[in-house]
Amino acid sequence: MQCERGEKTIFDDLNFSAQANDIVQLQGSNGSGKTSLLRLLCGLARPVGGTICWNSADIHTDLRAYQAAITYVGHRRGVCADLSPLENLQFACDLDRGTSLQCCRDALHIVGLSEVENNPTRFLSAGQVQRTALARLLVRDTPIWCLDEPFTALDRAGREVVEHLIRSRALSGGISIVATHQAMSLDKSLLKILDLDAL
Amino acid sequence: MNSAIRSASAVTARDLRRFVRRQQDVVQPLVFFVIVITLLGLAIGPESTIFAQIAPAGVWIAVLLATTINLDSMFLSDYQDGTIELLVLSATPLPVLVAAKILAHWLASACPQIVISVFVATILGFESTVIGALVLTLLLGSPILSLIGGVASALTVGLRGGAMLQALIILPLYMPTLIFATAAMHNAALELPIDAELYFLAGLAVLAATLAPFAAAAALRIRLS
Repeated sequence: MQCERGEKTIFDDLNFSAQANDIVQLQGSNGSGKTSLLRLLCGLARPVGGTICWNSADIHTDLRAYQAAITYVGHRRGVCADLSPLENLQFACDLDRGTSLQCCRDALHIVGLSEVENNPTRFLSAGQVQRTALARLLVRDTPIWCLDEPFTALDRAGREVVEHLIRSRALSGGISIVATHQAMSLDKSLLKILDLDAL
Repeated sequence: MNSAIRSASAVTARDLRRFVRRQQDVVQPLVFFVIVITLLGLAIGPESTIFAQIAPAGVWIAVLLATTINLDSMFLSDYQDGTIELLVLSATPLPVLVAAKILAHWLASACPQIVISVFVATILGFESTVIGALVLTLLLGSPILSLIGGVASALTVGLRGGAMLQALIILPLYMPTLIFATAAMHNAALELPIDAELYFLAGLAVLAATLAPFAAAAALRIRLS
């Protein structure tokens, strides 16, 4: 796979695969292409060269079906500041298959936002906004998770919740692709590290 | 099909709720609209017969300008907070969701404008036939403005100096709508039939509704990649 931003080649000759139960950690210095790679993997952008395959078919042949299998929590969180965490989460569900209100409440309880679920998100802290975005992982039951710096602004308890989610997703047969600088306290047997600086 | 309708109505409901929470996005263009018309009245003088001839066209130009300055509220905040990426990654086709967003924008910005126009036209002493023509042309014309505006807004979302570029793109595209709408009001003032102009506006509205959601969706994908 090859990727360019502007005129600059960020990486070429990148090749990797992930199976069920894998957690792929993308590492690399700032500007090494972690976010660009995640956006390519979600089909938000197209690689300049090479292909991305899912179940041995190019993702761009049936992009919508592939994207239905992904939950992406990007650098821009997809959380509207004028709406409450509950409204944001319910909207994200309605865009997909739709889920009950109780299901959204339970997800917000797990990420620790029960008390502020009806407050406008603009009054919440950065960590709480991040938790709101990550609650999408709980309500959308998709096999692939693409997470861009999921630990940003989270406190220790928040980190542990997210690590637990990623681990249980892997154990239940999903794939998580996580771009982060920070070391995750996960079993080495589950973790695959992809260092973009080493290319 | 059902899930597409549910997603689209969720998008419209969410955007309307956002407009309720951010009332300045609705109120400011309306105030701007009234001020533009007031300026026109001040500049020409309310007693002259010229004003009676120019005012109907002035109301339409004020509508165009108010629509233009209000287009940012369609996609910009969603682009900045990443909601557009959610829409693109949704299982529902993007043009459907974009059409739902344009509908919400039309309901929140054009509908109040139509109501205010009637008040303004009454205060300015328009003939009742001209007020009727104004309402009909606005009902048929304002969806065209929102739809074309949606395409330009999607093309320029997040660009530096995007607002100016957006105005330069859309104002020429608004010309046919303006021509037919003002021609209709001119005819109404002379008590001539306005059917032909209304049919043209209806045709333009159908054309815009058919093509604009696809164009806006394609533009958003380009802006994201």
